[in-house]
Amino acid sequence: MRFAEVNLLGVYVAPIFVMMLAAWPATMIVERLAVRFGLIRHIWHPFLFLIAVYIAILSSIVLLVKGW
Amino acid sequence: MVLQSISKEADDTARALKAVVPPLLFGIRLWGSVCLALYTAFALELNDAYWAGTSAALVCQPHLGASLRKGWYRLIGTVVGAVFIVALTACFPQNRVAFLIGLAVWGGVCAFTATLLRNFAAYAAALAGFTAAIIAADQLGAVGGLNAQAFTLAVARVSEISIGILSAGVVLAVTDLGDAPRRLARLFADLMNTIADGFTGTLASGGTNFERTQPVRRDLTARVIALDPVIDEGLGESPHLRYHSPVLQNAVDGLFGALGGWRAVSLALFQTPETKVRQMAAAILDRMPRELRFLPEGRDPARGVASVADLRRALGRAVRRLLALPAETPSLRLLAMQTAEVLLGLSRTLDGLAVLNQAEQPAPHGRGFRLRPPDWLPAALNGVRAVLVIGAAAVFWIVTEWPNGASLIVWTSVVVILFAPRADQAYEGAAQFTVGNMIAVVLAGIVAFAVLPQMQTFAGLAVALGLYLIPSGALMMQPWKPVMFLAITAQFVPLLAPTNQENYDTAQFYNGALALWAGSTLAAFSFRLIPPLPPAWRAARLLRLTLRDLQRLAISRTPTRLTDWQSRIYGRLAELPGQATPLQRAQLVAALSVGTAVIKLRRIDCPGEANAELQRALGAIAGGNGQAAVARLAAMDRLLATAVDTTPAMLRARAFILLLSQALDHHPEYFNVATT
Repeated sequence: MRFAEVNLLGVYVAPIFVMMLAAWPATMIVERLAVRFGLIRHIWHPFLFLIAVYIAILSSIVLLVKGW
Repeated sequence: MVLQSISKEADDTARALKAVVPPLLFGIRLWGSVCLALYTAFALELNDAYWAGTSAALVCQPHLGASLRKGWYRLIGTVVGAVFIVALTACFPQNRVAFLIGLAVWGGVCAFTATLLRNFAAYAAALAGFTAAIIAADQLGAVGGLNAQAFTLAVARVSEISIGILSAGVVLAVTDLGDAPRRLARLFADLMNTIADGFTGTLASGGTNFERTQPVRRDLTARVIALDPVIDEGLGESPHLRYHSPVLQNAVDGLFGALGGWRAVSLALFQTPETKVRQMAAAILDRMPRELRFLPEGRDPARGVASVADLRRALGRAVRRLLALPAETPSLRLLAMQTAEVLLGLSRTLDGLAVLNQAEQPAPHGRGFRLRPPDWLPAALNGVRAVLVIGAAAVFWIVTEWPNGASLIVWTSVVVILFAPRADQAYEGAAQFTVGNMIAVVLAGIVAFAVLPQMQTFAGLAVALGLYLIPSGALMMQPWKPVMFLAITAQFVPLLAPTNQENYDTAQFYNGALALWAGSTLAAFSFRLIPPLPPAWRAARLLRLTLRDLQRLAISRTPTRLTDWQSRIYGRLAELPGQATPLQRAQLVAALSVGTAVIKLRRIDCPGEANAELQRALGAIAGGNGQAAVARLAAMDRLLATAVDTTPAMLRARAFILLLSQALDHHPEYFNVATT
């Protein structure tokens, strides 16, 4: 377990805040690729899919940090 | 008889259910979003969990796309506001007066920007303004001393608001499939159909219906302008549309272009002698695509007679046929060119339909959504008002030493920035918001001090929230005083301010309520003290600015790009107040045609003397002398007509001369004014 508070410019912030921030650009990259290659047109509910991707990426980051 | 009566009752019940169920569903979604946001924030042990709930309530909209778009822009606005306040605190850590002046100026900048932007982008700009005030109020002590917690507070506020947005997004995505792209496709298809029908009708009647089609085109222009918020919803719902957003903007511009072409054809036919008009109209009709001419009423062009690709190809072929038409007279050439404009406009709209139907993927060509400031003055006035009112609230706080002065600044900022872009509706909106706030205070007081003390668990809190938020959310969807019901719904959670360890401090509640009332009332009255520009004044100013731009364009040394000119005037058409007269609308459209013709005419390489006449004519237009311009254009036309080598380019130039002369003759009272 390494969920210590993160020192951000001298201020300690909750690690989940940093993880949520990190998951966002990763989700954006997946979205852009899905649109670029036409995959998004075949998805029934694009926004639900993106939320699922975001949560999957966030969970992966949490598990990686935990050292699982 | 009995069966008829039962059937009637069943119909009535179905109608009643249809009216009641969607608002109730929205109320339930809103309640679910607030509960999920609060639960998450409590679970993460955030200090001010109620901000997550408030954010979820504010983001919830009756349509999925609108909610997602609003959530996204809310996040942007919050981050910008938070970054600004951290920077301001770093600049003036020991200087209260400079800090408050900076806060007021920032409020002014945000009110200014919010007026220039549209839809949810305007909301983001407004939010950046009052987020800074909210974080500032948290760090300002009772007498205005800074506690150097700006960064921590900013991070906390951004985290809470993000949780609220995400919670609302999850609840809405799970419960609402969204239909903005389908709705938008229907609207585009319907507009295309109406324009195609109207245009072919004009050609078939030989232009005799000019006056009858004018109100139709005005109505269609209003409908094209009204596409903007639906496009925003579509962009919120679909990543595919976001990627292709320039195509959608081109589609809207295509509709404007088609309407402009229709007007020019209608006017040209109307002014052509009756003996020639039938023959000319028939020549054009012969070259129109069959698919468009025989489009049955109500048929969706995207899925109807032909596929989008087929229809686009047919339009392309027709444009080529029209441009190759062996026209011997400038009036026939003008008709052919303007008809081609209509078809090209419809073709651009078909590109948009193709993207919406996801049937094909046109490359995201063209420009993206760009800022089209039609007039800076209303935005500047809103900015100045915001600076003065926020400054007045700060002075009031310093003079009276009221412990809740910081909250007064917050609520003043919220109302004066949020309602500023509504122009003449700003006071009405702010007044409704103030009344809604007061109703929310009374109801939140009852729930906070009579109901919540009986509830010990989160489930109890959720039930109490549901009893309030479901009906108030449902009432937000009805058309009567929607801003008041928005305030009743959105202010409930921050007034209740549920925390992990609930405290019941009545004095704190009353002081907070007093600051809310005083702040929103002060801001509402500011719209009376410094009123927005009257609609008639705004309309006249937009026309004056357009004429000034046209006169500059006529003599400008660097040629203006056609798309820049058109997008500027489309922006002004969209900004023209509803109270503008039909004549004013017609003058703006005429200015659009004249500017377009001038740009195209300047591109044609005319022989020496004709070119000199053109420069004199353009000089006369720039000087506000329409009659002289028409005379010079006539001289140029004669020179081109008697030229030894008549090229298609010269015939095109003569067609533009005809267009310019007709427009200048039709609106002398507008064009015969020098603005510079």
